[in-house]
Amino acid sequence: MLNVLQIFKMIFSLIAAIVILVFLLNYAGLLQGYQGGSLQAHAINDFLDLSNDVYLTGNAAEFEGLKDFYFNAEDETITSKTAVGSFPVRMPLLVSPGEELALDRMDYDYGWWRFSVVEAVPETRVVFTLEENTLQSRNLARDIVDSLPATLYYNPPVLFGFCSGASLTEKNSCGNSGTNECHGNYFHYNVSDALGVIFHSCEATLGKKDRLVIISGSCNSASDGLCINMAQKGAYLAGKRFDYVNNLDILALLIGWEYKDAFGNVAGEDLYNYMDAKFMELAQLASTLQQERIDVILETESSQTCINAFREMKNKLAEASSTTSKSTLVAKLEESKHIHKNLVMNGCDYE
Amino acid sequence: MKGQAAVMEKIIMLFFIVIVIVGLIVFLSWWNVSQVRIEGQKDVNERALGIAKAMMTDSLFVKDVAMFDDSKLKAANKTACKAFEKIFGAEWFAEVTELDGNRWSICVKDRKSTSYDIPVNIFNQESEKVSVGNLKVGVYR
Repeated sequence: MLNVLQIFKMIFSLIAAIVILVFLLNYAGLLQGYQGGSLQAHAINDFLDLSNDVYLTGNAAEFEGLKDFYFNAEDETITSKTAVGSFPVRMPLLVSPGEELALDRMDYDYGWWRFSVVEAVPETRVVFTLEENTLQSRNLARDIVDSLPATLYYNPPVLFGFCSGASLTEKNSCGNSGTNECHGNYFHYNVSDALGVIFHSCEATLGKKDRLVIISGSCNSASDGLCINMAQKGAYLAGKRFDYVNNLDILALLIGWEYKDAFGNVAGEDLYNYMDAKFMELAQLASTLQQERIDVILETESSQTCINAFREMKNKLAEASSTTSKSTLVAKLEESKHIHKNLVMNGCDYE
Repeated sequence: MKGQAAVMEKIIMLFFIVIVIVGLIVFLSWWNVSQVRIEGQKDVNERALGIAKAMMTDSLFVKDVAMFDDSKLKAANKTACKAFEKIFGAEWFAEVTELDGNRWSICVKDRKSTSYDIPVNIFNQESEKVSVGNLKVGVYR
């Protein structure tokens, strides 16, 4: 028979054990959450370090291990559902979330200045429908292929194909690759095979990894995928129209795509606005610095040919650095590129 | 009397268990905080190195990798520090010193910093000669 003291000891031990257990479980839970967040924070840091290396070297790379993250284009940070805080992105970056990412750098070289952007793309197949099948549209398709990461020797793959009506051709359009997958290196050349082919609206069933790019003269807000109207210099994505000035705009829409971020914003639109602002900001800074540099050079330059060309270039750059229109900026940069080529040819400046 | 001693025994044991648990928690918390501090310092170092690497490859400053162009440095020297925040963010500085004494600085302030010194080449636009210099890049604390 148990006496009162034994009952008291049992209850006391039980209460003490429960209190200690609950406390330890709570603390372990907290610690586990912290460690989980810390691991994800490490993964984001590693990803940003790798992106920076790709940005500086131009060497392609692959990355695995980021989960549930999104790029906040407004404050240029990467955040995750589990990691604490947000991580600043210090280079122009076009990223589409995915656990495995192919990274590469794309350059816009203006001779005297180069704008580079890092792309981080998950496994994707870009499916083209060239409803408008002209030399220009095929060139645009080739430019898009060349702009995306070349993944023949990397994972995850970025593949390409054609879609016309119900037929989705990846296999047959990639004759020389010897595989069923069509990487950019091969597809680039096979775009030429599309010469004279009449494309019908894509009706094939597309998978989650497919991104349909239509080049057509009749794009509208109801168009599927990314629809590009070359004559109007406009592109439609998720029911919205976007002006495009250079391929960077197309690339931002294509990489961001129709996915929605944590705030319900269309990622393609976010990346488009971000890249537009970033390009203008950096191009105008570069133009301002180059004008200053021209002033420095003109202090000692004696060749009249060089002086005239430098002055002409400075005028173009002055217009570039003061404009608010991206199309004017790009036009002036192109003109400055041409003048710079002449400066190099005349031995006034280097390449 | 025997019963009271048993209860006391339990209470003392519980007291020691609580002390061990509290000690464990204090240790784990201290370890986490120190890890965060180490990470913070690592971030500062990496940022300074990152800016140095970026400067040595950016066509705004160099003719070729790790070869600065003096005309570009003079232009950068004249440009407001704020403009460079678009590329490298805030709270950093860079200083390129040629061995013969020429010096170009960007965003230099009289404040405590963590910095790196890296030997670089400097191309003279006028004479087209290359000289040796030093790049100092730092992040303010």
